[in-house]
Amino acid sequence: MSLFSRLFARNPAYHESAYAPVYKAVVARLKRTGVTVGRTAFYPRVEVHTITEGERQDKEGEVRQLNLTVESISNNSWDEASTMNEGNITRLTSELVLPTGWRCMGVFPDQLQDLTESADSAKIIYRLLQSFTIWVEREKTQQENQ
Amino acid sequence: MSKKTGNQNKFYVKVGTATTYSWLTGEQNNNVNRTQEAIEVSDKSTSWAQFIAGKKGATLEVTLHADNSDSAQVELLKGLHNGTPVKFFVGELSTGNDPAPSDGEVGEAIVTNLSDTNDFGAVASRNASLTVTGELTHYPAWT
Repeated sequence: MSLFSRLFARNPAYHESAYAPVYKAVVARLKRTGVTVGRTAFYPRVEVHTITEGERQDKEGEVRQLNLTVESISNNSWDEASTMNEGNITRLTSELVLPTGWRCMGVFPDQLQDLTESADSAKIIYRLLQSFTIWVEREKTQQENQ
Repeated sequence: MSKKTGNQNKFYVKVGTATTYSWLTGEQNNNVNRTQEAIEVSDKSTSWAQFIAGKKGATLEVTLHADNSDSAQVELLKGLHNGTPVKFFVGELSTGNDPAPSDGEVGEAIVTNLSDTNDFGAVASRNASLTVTGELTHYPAWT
């Protein structure tokens, strides 16, 4: 058995990515009345994209750091986009419940970027890109604890 | 044994009266520093300095994500507060139902430093320093 397969065989956490549980939880948490989440053609809307899962933070691969960007898009006003963004921050930092097997340790808002597209001949699309750092922990199964 | 990654050499302690070793949950990295004093016995017979081997010793360091619900980490805290030595193993355990030290160092150590860092936006981390008391036993045994 190779070194790598020995390492991974003993650490089931290495096989599992935190991407899916975090993505599902974030999308579910951002959904609310008046705000569409996802890649639709409707305005105003919120999109979750560019999730980056970093390397395993400990030797069992239980703790993960993820960076994600949440985009608030409006075709009405900058104010609408900004209000949506503030709502996103409030919702994600107050509570983020992950699917069974994962636990959220903390959500921290990072940079806010204004990518409003304006042109003389086109309708202005107000776009705010808010990045977050999320720390999660994979919880060991009963079988692994034995 | 062959070359391997540092991920495989983990820091374990015996919790209470346990006979098996428990991994320090959240361990990120560890250091094992072995030392031996050199006692000078130089004389005029030669212009070269001469030494004989003196006391041997070792110190350990481990960095981990602080978790006070982990019994192995609590063992370190108890070790410092109560002044009791901690039974440790640094290395790789054997596979199977009854894991035992297969490649690494076993011994008892005094906890000399426990330093917690609580940074904004990061996982709370803990750094522990230990000084080995008594013999450091190497596994597998010398042949």
